[in-house]
Amino acid sequence: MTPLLDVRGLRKYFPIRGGWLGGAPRMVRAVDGVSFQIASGEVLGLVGESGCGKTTVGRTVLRLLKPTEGSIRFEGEEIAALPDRALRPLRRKMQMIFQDPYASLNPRMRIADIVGEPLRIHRLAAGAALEERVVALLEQVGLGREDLARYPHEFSGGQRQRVGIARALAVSPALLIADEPLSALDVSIQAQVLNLLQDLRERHRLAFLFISHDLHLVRYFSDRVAVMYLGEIVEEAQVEALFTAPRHPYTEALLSAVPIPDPTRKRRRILLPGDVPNPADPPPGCRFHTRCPKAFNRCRVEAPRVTEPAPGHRAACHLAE
Amino acid sequence: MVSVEDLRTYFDTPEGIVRAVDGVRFQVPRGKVFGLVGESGCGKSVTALSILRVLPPNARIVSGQILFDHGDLCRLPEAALQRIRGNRIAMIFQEPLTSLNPVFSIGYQIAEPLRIHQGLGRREAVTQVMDLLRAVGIPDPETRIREYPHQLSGGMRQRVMIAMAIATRPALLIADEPTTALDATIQAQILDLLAEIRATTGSALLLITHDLGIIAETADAVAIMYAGEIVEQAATTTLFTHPAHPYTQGLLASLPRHEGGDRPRRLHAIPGTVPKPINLPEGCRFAPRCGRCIEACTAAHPAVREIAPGHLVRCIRA
Ligand SMILES: Nc1ncnc2c1ncn2[C@@H]1O[C@H](COP(=O)(O)OP(=O)(O)OP(=O)(O)O)[C@@H](O)[C@H]1O
Ligand SMILES: Nc1ncnc2c1ncn2[C@@H]1O[C@H](COP(=O)(O)OP(=O)(O)O)[C@@H](O)[C@H]1O
Ligand code: SF4
Ligand code: SF4
Ligand SMILES: [Mg+2]
Ligand SMILES: [Mg+2]
Repeated sequence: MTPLLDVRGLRKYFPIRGGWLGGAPRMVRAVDGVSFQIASGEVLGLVGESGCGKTTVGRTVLRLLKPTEGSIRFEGEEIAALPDRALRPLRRKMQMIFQDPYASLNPRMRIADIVGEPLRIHRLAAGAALEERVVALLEQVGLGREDLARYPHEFSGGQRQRVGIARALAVSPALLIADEPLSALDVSIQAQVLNLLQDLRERHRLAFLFISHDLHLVRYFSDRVAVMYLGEIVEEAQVEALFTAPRHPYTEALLSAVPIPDPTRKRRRILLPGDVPNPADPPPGCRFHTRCPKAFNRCRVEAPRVTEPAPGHRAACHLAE
Repeated sequence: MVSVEDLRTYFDTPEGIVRAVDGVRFQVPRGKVFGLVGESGCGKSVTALSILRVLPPNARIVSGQILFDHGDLCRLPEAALQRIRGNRIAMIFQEPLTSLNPVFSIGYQIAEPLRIHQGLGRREAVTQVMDLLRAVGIPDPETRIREYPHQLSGGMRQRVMIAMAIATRPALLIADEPTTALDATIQAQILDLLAEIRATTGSALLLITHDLGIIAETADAVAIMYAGEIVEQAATTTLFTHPAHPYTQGLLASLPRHEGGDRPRRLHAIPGTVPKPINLPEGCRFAPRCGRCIEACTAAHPAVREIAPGHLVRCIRA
């Protein structure tokens, strides 16, 4: 069966200013050879530290950014090189929910227009039918007709995130790219919005690329999880396999670093030394070797291949071979 | 060590009076970590700023006492307070970039409190700064000492802030969301560092965070704030194993848990939202969201009760 989304060898480089001493312009290798698939109705969690390339993956898949290299197939169709004007039908099927519910809604637009806009752009509804459709969408996210004439500033953060979700759902997408959809929200509101996403996923068989740095939420919501480090996916597996039997030393350290809200359970944290290197100048060999507690000589010179230590479980580490 | 009694800090705003901190009371004993938790806007930062009296101009401390070193910080003259700030009490903020001065080198900034409060000369100060940078795990301090804040990563900047804060060996460290802007692996480094500092210097730590995981792993005792008040306070293990306030219970229940592998299809969610600080409900402030609310809850403002030794709850039904 063809997956809904099939990404192979995706690269996105950004030029950075200051070709130092007049040298060639340098490149930030934000995404550097990433491959993954998402089946219809499946949730792939994407985790990793700030700057590792998660948002860039999401924006490139949506073709808000033009890939530097690689293939992106959506429902079997290659979209990596499609010209912008050919992307419109695609935009109906893939939608994005953003991190910041404050910044992503136009403050001068009423809720009716914010949620109705994609319907108008794609000529899916007009007039009274449009309004009815908008009301139905608002009701799906726990808002209602009385909210049509209100403006974003009249809502709380959680409600604004609901408006963003209603807007994304307007065109009945098959895939939602949710980039930190909960991280601007308070704990008690996170649960409300996560329950909503859970309902929508079941009701519409929605697939998600769920980007988050909150590993508790990722574990709760995802079917499979991919871990990124410096532009690469270093490990990918079914959610429970990844959390209970990680094969990559970075995943191990990341999992051990997450505080658990249970004072009766004491664990040993694996402390990684140092900082994440600059993606404009990644280390040679294994990119993680500067911080890896298990690094050995080979790691400094030879980049590990992706291997499959268990069925459906992939890791890029010499020790996982 | 520090004892906050019935602290009330209000803001005058065009919309009315914001009762940001409204009758807060807690103690941070020497060598202990006291956690202050709550959702955004509940008054955590204003509590911290009140202790140091570094509040915005439209804020006023309406009542209360902050007992520290045999004095009341609320009533101390400004000059005396200046000798305490950054010396006996130091603060670490969430965003180190906005609290470090961009035009001075790292070394200069860490040396400053040492020169002001301890009258160290340039030489001595430099030696101490190097030791401090090494203590907070900054590699190559000889080079770093000459660098400027923008040249450092977020984690390094937070280390520099911590180095500055501990330079004078303060009796009380206040850390307001010290790791919220940092990545998980860097957060782990910083929390470890804070624990180590407390163990070696014996200073008390007031740790402010919205992350219950961080509290569970680092705090000895914890207070849960809601709409300007502490609604529950207990030893950390008690609070997590026997939460008594419906808000605390709701918060803990809304966390995704993974024991046993099965995940519940839905998370418990607290309905509704935090009340607007201008228009606080008359009775219990949590009543509009509380599943156990009865008439008596809205009739009068619930007082704090001690339901077990050291376990304080502001709920008539707990
Ligand atoms: N337009 C751009 N120009 C230059 N560099 C960029 C651009 N967008 C992103 N980058 C760089 O690419 C890398 C990956 O960025 P990206 O936003 O994808 O990270 P992320 O994993 O989403 O991080 P976060 O968790 O902080 O959101 C970073 O080093 C970033 O600075
Ligand atoms: N300068 C200010 N003027 C008016 N209100 C303020 C000001 N600073 C904070 N507040 C209000 O005080 C309350 C508590 O804020 P704060 O202590 O910063 O919350 P947090 O718990 O997130 O740290 C909030 O309602 C906030 O809006
Ligand atoms: S390849 Fe080597 S450095 Fe890289 S993760 Fe594996 S052990 Fe560590
Ligand atoms: S006092 Fe009443 S409304 Fe308030 S938390 Fe207790 S039960 Fe709920
Ligand atoms: Mg991002
Ligand atoms: Mg705050």
